[in-house]
Amino acid sequence: MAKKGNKKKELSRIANLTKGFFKENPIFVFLLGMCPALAVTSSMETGLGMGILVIVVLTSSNIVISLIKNLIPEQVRVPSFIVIIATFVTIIEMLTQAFALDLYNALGIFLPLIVVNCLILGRAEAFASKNGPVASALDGLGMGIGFMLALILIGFTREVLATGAVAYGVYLPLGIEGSLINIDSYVLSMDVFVGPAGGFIVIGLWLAMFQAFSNRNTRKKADARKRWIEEKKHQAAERKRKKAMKEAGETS
Amino acid sequence: MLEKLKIALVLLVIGAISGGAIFSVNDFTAPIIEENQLAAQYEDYVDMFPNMSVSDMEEETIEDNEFITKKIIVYDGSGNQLGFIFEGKDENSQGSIIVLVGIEGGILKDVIISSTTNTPNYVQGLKDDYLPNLPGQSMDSISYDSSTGATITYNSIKSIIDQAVLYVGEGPVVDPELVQYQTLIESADAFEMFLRYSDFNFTNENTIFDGDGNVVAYGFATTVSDETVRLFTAPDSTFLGAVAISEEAASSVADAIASLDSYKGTMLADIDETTVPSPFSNAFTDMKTIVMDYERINDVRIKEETVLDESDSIIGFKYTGFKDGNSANANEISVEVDSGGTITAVELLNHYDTPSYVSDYIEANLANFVGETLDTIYEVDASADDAFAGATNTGESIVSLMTAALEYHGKRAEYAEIYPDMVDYERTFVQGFSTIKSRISILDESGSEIGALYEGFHYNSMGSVSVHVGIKEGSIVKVTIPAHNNTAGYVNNLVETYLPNLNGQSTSDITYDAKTGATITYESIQDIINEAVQCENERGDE
Repeated sequence: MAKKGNKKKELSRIANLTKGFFKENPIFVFLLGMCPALAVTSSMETGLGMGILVIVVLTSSNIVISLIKNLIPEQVRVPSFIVIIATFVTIIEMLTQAFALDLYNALGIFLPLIVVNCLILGRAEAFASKNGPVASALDGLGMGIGFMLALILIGFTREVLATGAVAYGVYLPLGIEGSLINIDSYVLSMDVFVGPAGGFIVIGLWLAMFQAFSNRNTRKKADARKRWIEEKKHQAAERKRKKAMKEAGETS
Repeated sequence: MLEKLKIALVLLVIGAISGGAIFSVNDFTAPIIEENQLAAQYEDYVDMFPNMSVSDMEEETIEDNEFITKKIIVYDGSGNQLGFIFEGKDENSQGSIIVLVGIEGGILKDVIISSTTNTPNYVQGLKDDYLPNLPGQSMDSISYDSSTGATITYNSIKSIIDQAVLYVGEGPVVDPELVQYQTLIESADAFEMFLRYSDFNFTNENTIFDGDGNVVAYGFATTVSDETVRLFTAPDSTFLGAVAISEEAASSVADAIASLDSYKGTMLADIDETTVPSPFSNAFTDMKTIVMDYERINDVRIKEETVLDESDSIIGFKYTGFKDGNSANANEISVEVDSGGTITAVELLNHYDTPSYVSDYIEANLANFVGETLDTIYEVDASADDAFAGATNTGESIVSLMTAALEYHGKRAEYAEIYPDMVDYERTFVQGFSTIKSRISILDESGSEIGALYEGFHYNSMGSVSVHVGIKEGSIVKVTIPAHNNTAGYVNNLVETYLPNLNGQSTSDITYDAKTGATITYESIQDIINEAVQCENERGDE
């Protein structure tokens, strides 16, 4: 029994970690953290950088909040969460300025604004304040990765459409610089995708695709369930028929 | 109560832990952050000027320019100025961009994108393909690429470069020629062409200014072993030395220049030009003639000669001078003025204009200017029908000469205001004073000195003031203000009420009014008077 219980618990942890990737993606499903999603995704690398920082802040704050959740009085719960989040953001800001100056310069005001990212306070309030540290860490990590993947996707799309290429090593201290892809085509030179309008367009397109994918999955699941119910009904009817025939045979 | 205490305690603990964590990280990262910023900043600077000394550079924050935020004057380890770096910032639709523009000797040395949030691939494209086209271009005519594929970023860079160039134009210009001048005249900050000559052993004369715009030297260009060398004199006619315009002049030129070292600091009047070594002897002689005989008035060189009647009495004055005309060479013109300050004759002695233009438009009209005075000459328009239309440039040079001649003559009236019995005068330059540059010896009919007049000039917080101080036999004769741009009401009150109190006072014990209502102007006048008295006393001691 114990073995079965552990397996169930581990599956739950994986689900907890991965739910933010697609099923509960902060940007494409919950539409949380849209401000940086628009502002820092003119290139893939800035999106990646912002994503990494959000992962660190979200995971760290989730762990700390889950650890001290029982010590914080109800009346000052949200202010306490904000102080904790702000502390991590300040630390991350200083570390970025020290070790990734180009990224710090590129993110500009949006780095300190992580403090007010709805995603982080939302997960603290909705998850970390009600669960243990391990689950909260996995939740923060998963949601952060989902957020980062979304930013990478948006940044990648915008950069390719605007410049025909995707650069790396410009903002992050990777030690090398180059381009992931480089397509020399006048079609891929649409300035609009660098600006805010391009950000809205790209996010809108990706949202539409996510919703279409999500709807298709929902329909598939509904159809499967419908088939399963029909099957069950059919099986029950068959069992009923067999039972009736059996009773009729005994009687005769 | 206990609940509230608990809340406060929890918040206190959270705040304290947060503060402690931030303090620790800050303690750890602050030096790295500072180092990063300095390294990034100086790395760009040193990339531009590899020989620069980071510790010697001078930074100035610019607040009144739309794009330029900082100006850095770059020096090498020996303190020689290498050039400028301008830091400019622009906010465009893609974000912000900070650009460094290096300028050396009027040439665009380098353009570096210091940091930007613009699209990386556009920025990289500019760095690879377009920014390398900019270094080496002259500041006067920068040619930009018309199409770069990164218009927004490139426009920001263009704006910053253009503003940097403009800012250099308004500020000190690092001209290699100026750098050469500075090796001789430390205070040299700018120079401009004054006149081009054709009949002398030098080709032109320029003017050297210090940082405040004061004239510190006149430079006369001559040629030695195919190198242009300038001979310099101070405004008081002290010989300052010579400098080759090119830094890479041959050693023989440097040796020739060194042969003039023994004359440095000596007044031209005290130098026997026949003793000057051969490469410079002719040019030096001509320079001495020009400086000693010809006064610089406005934009011309002009000399004054008296016109005598049969009984050797002065009946007028002849002014002969040089002024650029239609060509690169100066026209030579003479103007005769009677004792009352009215033009009696004008003659074009030498010109480089088209002969037919001169005969049709100049010589045909010269007689029209007989009768002009200082009051009317300013109204003459050289391009108008009644002047020299058709030969405007040469005409303008003649009008300039006539104006200078009348102003030169006007000095007599100014001197006569202090010494009504003056018949003639002689000017000598004085050295070692900040406000007075010349002493005018006032002469009677027999040529004997009847008194001295000092010409002084002083900058003050309201502008500048020119003062004439008459000193005779240990007493102040009169103090006048021939020109000023201080507040007119204050100066008029000084002239009417307070300056007369100085007349007749002994130079050994001058009592100035303690309260005049025009303190700034009066202090300038006091400075000039004190130096004039000191100079006169020193002459008496000698």
